[in-house]
Amino acid sequence: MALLIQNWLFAESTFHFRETRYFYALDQTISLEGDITFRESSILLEYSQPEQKLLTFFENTLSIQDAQGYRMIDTNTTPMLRYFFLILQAIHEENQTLLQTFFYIQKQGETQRLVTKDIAKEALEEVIVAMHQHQVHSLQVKIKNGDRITIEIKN
Amino acid sequence: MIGLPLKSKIKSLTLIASLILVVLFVGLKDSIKISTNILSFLPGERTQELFDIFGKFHHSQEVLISVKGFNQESLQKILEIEHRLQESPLLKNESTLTVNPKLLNYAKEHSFYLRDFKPETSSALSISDKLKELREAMIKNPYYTSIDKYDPLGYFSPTKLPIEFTMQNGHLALGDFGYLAVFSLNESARSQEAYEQIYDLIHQTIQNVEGVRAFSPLFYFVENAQKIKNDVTLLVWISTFLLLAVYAFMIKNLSLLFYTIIALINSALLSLMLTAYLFNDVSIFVLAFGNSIGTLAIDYMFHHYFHHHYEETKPFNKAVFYGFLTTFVGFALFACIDFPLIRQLCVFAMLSLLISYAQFAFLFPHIRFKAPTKLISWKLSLPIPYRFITIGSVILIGILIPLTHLDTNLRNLDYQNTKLLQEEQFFKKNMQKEAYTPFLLQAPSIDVLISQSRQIQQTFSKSIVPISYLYDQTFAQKRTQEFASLNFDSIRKTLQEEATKLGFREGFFSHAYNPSLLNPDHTALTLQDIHDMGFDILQYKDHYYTYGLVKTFDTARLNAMGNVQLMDANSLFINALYAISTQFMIAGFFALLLIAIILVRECRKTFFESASYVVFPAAMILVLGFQNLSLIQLFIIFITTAFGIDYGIYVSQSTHEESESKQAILFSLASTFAGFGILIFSHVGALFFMGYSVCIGIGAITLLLTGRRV
Repeated sequence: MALLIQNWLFAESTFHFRETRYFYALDQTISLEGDITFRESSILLEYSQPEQKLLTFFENTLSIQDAQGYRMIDTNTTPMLRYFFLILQAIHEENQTLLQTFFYIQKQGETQRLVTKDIAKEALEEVIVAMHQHQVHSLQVKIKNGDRITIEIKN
Repeated sequence: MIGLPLKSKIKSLTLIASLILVVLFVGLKDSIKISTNILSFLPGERTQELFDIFGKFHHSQEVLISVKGFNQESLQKILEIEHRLQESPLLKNESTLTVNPKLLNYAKEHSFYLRDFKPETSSALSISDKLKELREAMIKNPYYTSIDKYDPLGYFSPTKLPIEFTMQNGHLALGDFGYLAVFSLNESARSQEAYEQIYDLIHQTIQNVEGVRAFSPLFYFVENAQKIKNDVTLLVWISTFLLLAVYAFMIKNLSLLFYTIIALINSALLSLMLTAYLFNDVSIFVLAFGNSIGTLAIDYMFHHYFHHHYEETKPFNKAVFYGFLTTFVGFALFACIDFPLIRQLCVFAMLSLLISYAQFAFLFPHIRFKAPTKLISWKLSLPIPYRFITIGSVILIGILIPLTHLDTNLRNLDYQNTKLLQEEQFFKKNMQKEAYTPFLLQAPSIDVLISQSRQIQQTFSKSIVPISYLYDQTFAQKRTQEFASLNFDSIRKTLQEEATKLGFREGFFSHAYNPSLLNPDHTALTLQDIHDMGFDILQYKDHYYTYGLVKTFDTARLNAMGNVQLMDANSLFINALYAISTQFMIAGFFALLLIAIILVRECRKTFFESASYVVFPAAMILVLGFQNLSLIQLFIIFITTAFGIDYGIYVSQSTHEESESKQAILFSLASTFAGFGILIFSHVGALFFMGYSVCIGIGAITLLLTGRRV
């Protein structure tokens, strides 16, 4: 049992990040800050700025705990959310197989350009992943409607 | 040959004729199509037609492969399997994320007609409130939220699917088990040979992959066909060997044994070639049955031989002729029934019996064979109340018929492939397709077909009818009218004004509820359009067909809607049986009438004893059927009565020594057991039931033989 707990503890990794969301419809950018934790089968997003909220992505379901209470969203009905978490997970796990399902990968130095293919083309333009010393430094998701999501890892 | 005596000439001619037959058979062997699919011999032309139509749908023979787990290794494994299999020209990968461009365009252009429409109030205030709500959601939602600029007020919502596709890490998933790959069959993969190729390819591809499971309905065609072939081949060999041993022991006359075997081979080969000529496919059950029917035919030889017809010139053996005629006419009556499997068995039996009888009755007396040695001195003679047995059996039959249930589960007649049945259940359960029944929908036009499929989808919320995704002309008119009543021009104008006030980008909603989406081109879809979009519709004669799945508990209600044909084998079997039940009863009535006439005419003196050979075996089969009889057993009851009457006639012949008749009957029974009884060891339901029932019949007749009149 102790070994199990130990494995579980070491299996997860946490990063502090800053997220900016640009909305083309409003021509407006918002910024959020928090910690992201990758577990074996789930991703935990703990926002501290501008408000405290906790998001857990597990088995295609996004659970949200914030000032409005607790709620769940089935990401199968919201393709953008599903892609977003898939990309996060695949990049963290260096899961090339999963990435290649949706993207053609083009490497340029420490930058990876993920060009969408097949069904992903309908929602995304491309994803740019900047690496620094084999660690993800930033991630920019270009959405087809003109919106942009950028995540910068702070530690 | 001219100088040879008549006996030698006949022998030589017989051998030459047999040789020609064998050569002919070897030459034609490859053109005789042997089918192992029991479904292709179901009653009714319409049933066959429906099966043919259903089999042509791409999804009717889907191949499902699943790899356990959702880790990177499992994903890699399933992708490798997909990659290898999609190289085959026989298979099409249906689990790929590649979008069908035609379907995508259609979905975009007709999105306001393909989704549910629930308009709310459209005042300026409500529009402003809705836009504020959207802006708040974008800025304040903890997760990224986007806006549908074509439908910002959310009037349209996607139609809820009865079965949600589960995705894991961007790949189809089979419930909680693992990744799922789905393949459909291309047009070129619609034959038994193609099925075998696909089966081999799949099993070669997955053989070294850990945690993989695979299923496809086509696996039944391959595995069952192979197992039925093996089963029948083994049984035919054992039966042939046993028969040879029995004949060698009983006949003890090498020359007669040799010519008897030649005669049986002649009749089997000629009957098979003629059956193949009359029918497109020959059921493999005919082969097993054919081997056994020879054992009925050999009775004619035994009775002629033991009554010295091959040793000296004697008058025509009327008893054997009447025995043959009754059985022949009995089979002829049942051959009139519109049930291909039974018709083939009957036609084969008629040909085989006729050819055998002709040889044993007309050819063998001219060849001449030495007199038989008396093998059995018939001493066992129990007092048996034949009158009581006959009357008791008739009463028993009268009581049991209403209590007996006809087993209509077609699977019980097929090979019991438990392993594959378990795999089928596993996939159905995990795909939430458990307890679903497939059905065919037919309509005179594509538009009506779409309309009916939508009606079914709405009436039975859990049903799955792929083409109900599309819409028909009547629906288009109705929705256009709804749109007209809403004044979308005004809504769009208000929307843009209010959006600008709230800080949205100028012109962002300029395409909201635009006329091209509100009034797209409603030209009726052609068959090609629908195929290009990946839907399954077939045109057959002057009708269009598609398929769907309905919850099994809804089948009765769905059936009542008309234009729908449930496609589970049992429903079709039951419907077809219902359609031929009158024919079956008429054939049964005439067969019984014929037997009654023969009994009255030929066996007046021994009426009850002779009748007991007919009714007692039938009563015993009914008793030991435990009130649950398959159609094959019912058929065998008639066959048993048909050969029971033969024995009834033989024992009635006062001119014959009783022990000679009984000896001939006993030998007939021993050979019948070696031929038919051996089928009891079959793993194929249809053959097992044949063997089981014939064994009961033989047992009953043997019991009657041990007796003497009291």
